[in-house]
Amino acid sequence: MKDTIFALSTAPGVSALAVLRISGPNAFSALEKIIKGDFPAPRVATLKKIVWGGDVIDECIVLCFNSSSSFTGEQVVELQIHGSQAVIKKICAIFLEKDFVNLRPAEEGEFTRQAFYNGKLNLTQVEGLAELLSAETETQRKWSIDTYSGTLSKDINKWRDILTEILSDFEANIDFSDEDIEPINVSGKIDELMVLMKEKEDMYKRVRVIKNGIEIAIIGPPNVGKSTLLNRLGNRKLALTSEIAGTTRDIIEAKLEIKGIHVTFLDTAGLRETNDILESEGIALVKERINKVFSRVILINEEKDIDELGVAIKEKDMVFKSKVDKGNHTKYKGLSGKTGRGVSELINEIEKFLPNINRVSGIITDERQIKKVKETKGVLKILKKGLEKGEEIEILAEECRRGVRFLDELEGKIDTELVLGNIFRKFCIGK
Amino acid sequence: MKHFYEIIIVGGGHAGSEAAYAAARGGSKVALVTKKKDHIGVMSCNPAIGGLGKGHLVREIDALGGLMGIAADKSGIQFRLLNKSKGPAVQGPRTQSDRLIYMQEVQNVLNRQKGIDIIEAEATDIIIKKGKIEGIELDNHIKIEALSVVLTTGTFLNGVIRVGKESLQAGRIDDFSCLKLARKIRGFGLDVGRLKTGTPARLSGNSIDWDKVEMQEADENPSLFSFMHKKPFQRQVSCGITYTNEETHDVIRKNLRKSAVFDGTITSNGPRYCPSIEDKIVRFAEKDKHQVFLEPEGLNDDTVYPNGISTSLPKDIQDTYIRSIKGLERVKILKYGYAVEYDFINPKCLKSSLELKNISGLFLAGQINGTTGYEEAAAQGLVAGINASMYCKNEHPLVLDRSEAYIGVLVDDLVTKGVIEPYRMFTSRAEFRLSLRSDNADRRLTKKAWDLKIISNERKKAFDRKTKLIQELIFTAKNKSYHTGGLAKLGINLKKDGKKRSFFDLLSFSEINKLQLTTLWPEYFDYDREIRQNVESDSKYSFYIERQAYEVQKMKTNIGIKIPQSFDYSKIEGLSSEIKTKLKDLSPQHIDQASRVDGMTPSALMLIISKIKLLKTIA
Repeated sequence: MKDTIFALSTAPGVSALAVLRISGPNAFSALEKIIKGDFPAPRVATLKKIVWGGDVIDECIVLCFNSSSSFTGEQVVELQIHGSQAVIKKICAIFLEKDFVNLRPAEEGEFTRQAFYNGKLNLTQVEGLAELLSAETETQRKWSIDTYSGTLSKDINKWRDILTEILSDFEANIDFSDEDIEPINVSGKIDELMVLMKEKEDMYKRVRVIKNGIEIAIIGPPNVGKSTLLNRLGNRKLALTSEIAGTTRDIIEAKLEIKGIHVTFLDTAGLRETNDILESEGIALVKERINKVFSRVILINEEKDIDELGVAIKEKDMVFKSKVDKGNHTKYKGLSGKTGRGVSELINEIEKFLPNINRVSGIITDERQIKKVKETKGVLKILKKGLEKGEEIEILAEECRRGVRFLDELEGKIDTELVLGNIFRKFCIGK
Repeated sequence: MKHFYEIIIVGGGHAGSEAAYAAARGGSKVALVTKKKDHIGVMSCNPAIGGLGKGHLVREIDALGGLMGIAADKSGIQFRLLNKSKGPAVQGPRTQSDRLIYMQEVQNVLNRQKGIDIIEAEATDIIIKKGKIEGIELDNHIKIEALSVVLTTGTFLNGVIRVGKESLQAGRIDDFSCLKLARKIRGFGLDVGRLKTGTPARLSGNSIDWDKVEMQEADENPSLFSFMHKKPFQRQVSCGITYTNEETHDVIRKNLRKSAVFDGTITSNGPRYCPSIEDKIVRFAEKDKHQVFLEPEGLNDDTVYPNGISTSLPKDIQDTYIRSIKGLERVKILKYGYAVEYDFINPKCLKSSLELKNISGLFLAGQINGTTGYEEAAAQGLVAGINASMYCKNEHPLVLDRSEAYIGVLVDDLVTKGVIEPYRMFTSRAEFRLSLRSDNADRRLTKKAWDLKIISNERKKAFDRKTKLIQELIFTAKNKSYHTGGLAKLGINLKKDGKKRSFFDLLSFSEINKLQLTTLWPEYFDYDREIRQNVESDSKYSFYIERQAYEVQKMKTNIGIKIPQSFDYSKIEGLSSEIKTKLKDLSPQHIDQASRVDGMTPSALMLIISKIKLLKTIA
């Protein structure tokens, strides 16, 4: 009843090897049809000839997984074939032949969807996996592999535990009010949870910076060496350089990964008064753009250049004396795009400003996840206000249950038995 | 001679009597089989009805025309509304009952009801042919045929009483144990387990030093159970409150090994919320005292029930620890406390109608389903009685939803989750708690009862009168509106958002007082207190109830999906074998039910949903 799907798991194009993956109830019978001799033992790499219509198509390593131990929770077969277009095409064509076992090409993300439906992954793990697959930088790789392996789930479970404890306090005071149980004291727990969730929210802000990357503009007077620095950073000739001031009119970018974060350097037109209409429009564009960037590298020849630029220095801005190979009479550090001197100091400076994510706890990386966190926090605020106002306890409990539901939606589920279990562990009930 | 009844009820406790009464009201010819006719409706444990969650159940039983509310009101000697200081949704009516009057009232109701024959005998066998009930056999070897049977065996099914090392076969002190029937039931291939419960010693009131204990009065404005009653029938009395102390705890600690629970004799689960005194002292060692309520068992009865110190310790130890308690130093013990173990059938074997899945026409109610409490038993008795009657008429069973009644929550919890310890109702079990109030039980259920023809004309008339008044009051209150500015002049300070507030809205603000309301609309207070309370509760929770309704609607899309009867869980890869077995045993009828199975995860649920959708597209 369930479909068996297949897809090329490696990037298309010529390569030494390519991996074809089949997943679903017919995966093993599909393999059986194209190999001779013993069926490979599960999880043992086995060298096999792929044979169809008496023809040897390829010779490759075959890997089989039982549904109980595969990623998708289905039978999985992986063929590590040679990365030739002809081989790939031929095998795919065989899979789609009418009298072959029923296979169809996988849709995007379908292997993961199988894994999710089969309970191999929960929702945040799926999101972590998506993140991992699209990770371009080291930082993204780190946090997405963490989410994939369940660190965020652990945090959510902790939040749920605290919220369930709060709910248990409310419920105990409702259902066992005629027993001598302690009065409600949940304020501290609400605050604790607030702090934990606020941390995640703050972290999300930094995460977004990291995901989107940051921009650093290189600004300075004409002919100070901005383009030369950009070319040095980009390690190739991105911008034209010349002795003539005003060579750069457009904004030119160079991308770099610093500490696992995408940093885009912008080479800008030199800032000066000019009668050239084209150049002055370029300068206007630059002035607008450099106000939006994360930080700016200000290159100068002399200290008075700073004032003449007409740009207010911000907290994360870095001033460097350019062309330091020709000497430095300023109080600032120097660098030279031409020789590369001082460029590593610049990178060190930038690193100091980059947002930090520690790997101790799980990371919220996704709009959907942060929405649920915010909704839960909203409930905590209502609880806090309600407690201060002396709101009826059954209404507070109702709000609290809603909070738990938000966390459920993030992943997992709650049972009233859990709440009662908490109550019985904590309070002496039974008059 | 051939004996035949449409329905046989086995057992005359709270489940049995309610079942017999409900079935007879449904027009069926009923036989109630009980060993001792005079014991029908006896309160074997504490002399009280109602409480939190339980009071809600009794109101619902009454709204459906049952007898428990009537008997509790007639015998009530100390009405107290619990959680008075909290909102109306979590207030639970409770009363101490005169045990004798309660029992007489139950018997009166049954005697007056047409269509009930009471047969004094022990049921020893159940006759089943081809998965269908045929009747029962009595200890005198007479067979009675029936279309349907309701078993309410209470603690009698293989009941064993234990006091210290002593044990005897009985379901209650000085009573018998249903052994033959138990053996027979064990042969049905059902999931049979053991549970335990306990009861404290009974004391002579004359020997209690009442001056030394605190006293708790009845409510000044008593809240009764039945929607047909306004005032108590009996004189109201007080209860005493005293406490255990370090000496009590020492005695118990030193003799723990003599307790049947702690020496390993009893291994079955007892209720965590109604622990024995030995349990309390072991589990909460840091507490230096425990509350003990001294509850009179009747107006003309010297017996006092010390609530909070149930036990299975030997008699001499009971003597010592009870006399260490303040006020009880010279107390005379009339009967000793004991623990009782009994057979129950895992209620997962039941359909939502309380009929066994594998034996058609056989219904179970009360402690046999793993519950504890008179109210829980009566609620199930009512459901089983009605449904046995529906079964005989070949009509659809009455199944109440979780969103419409605590009875619905009770039955649904039992049949979907099963039981590992005696199940008691709590308000926290009801996710729709704010709508399931004791004040509106009749508005939720009486119409249904009328449609099933199980309530009297008199009750219907009273109900119609009340609902008409409530509707009228809500309508008028919603049409009276005020500017926040005008309200401020009366000292009612609300958010000035330019919106007008109706009188109905204003009722939800607890800070607005009676004087202010009178100034706004003097005639409001011409309505009865009961009518006003209903409308005030409606107003108070309207925001939450609407929000909940919206969320339920949102969820309904998937939750309402029906699971085909022949659905094969074993073929779904990725479900744990534990979940597979549970689902197979339970065969839930829709996704909502499946979602409440222990250990069910969202992804497992998704898997089932996608599978069902897949089946639909193929079909």
